Amino acid sequence: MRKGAAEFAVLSALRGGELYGVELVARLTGAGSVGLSEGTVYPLLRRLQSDGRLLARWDDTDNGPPRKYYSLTRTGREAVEGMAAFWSEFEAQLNLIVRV
Amino acid sequence: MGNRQHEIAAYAHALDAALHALAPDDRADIVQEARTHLEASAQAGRLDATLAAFGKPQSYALQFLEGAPLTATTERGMWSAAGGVAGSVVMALLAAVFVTVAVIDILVPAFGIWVNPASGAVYFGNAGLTTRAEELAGAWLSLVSISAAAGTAFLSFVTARAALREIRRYLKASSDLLRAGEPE
Repeated sequence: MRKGAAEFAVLSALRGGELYGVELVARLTGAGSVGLSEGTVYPLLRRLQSDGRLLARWDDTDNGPPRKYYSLTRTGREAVEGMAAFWSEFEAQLNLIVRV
Repeated sequence: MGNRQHEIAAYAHALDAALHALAPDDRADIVQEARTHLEASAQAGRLDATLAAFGKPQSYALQFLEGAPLTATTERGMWSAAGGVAGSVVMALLAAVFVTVAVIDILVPAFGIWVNPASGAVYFGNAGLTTRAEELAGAWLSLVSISAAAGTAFLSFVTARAALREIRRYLKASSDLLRAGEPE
């Protein structure tokens, strides 16, 4: 999967609210998902966090190891909304070509 | 499960070592998150699949190093290496000066530290500067010079070795970051 598409997938998965790493990876790599590799999600999350598009916080759980939760920053939300608008337009254009 | 915990700990340890070019906080953050994920995978009975997806700790670490800036620690190390090289050169030059003084003092008896009793002025060099000069240090000058030469040479060696170690560490960190930036 191309880097831009992987970023779009990660940011889109967080549009509904914050998720912690394991949930996010399950959503992005599980059956019926977009086919991201489990080994590429965390490095990508870190880059998005460094770029200021994601916010992360650690949460200590009563049972089990601490969880790192991710959410969109304002920049991240603007970025994913821009990507989504582009994607919708691109898909519509492509459909016009494919269905001719 | 115990064995699995051991595998997770070993992977986390190797990942931490492979991320040495990053700042300690960043490293701890990445390693803790990998641990959390591996433990969740182990509970779900799919640790082997996750370890295979992550790949070797070294190659997994390279993904985090891609585009990462050199850490303040690494940059500080480079400055201390530069200081070490400069210090080592200064110490080596001082050692050379002390050796020269010792050799000249041994070969040229008129060379030394002389005092003019009339004026109390002290001269370093040849006794010919004054006819009534008295030698201040005598044979001690060569002994002290040889000792000082040995001391400064030793300091030069120690600082040079420390500087080389820092340079090697810096080059290793830089090459890890460069490798991380290369396409697969």
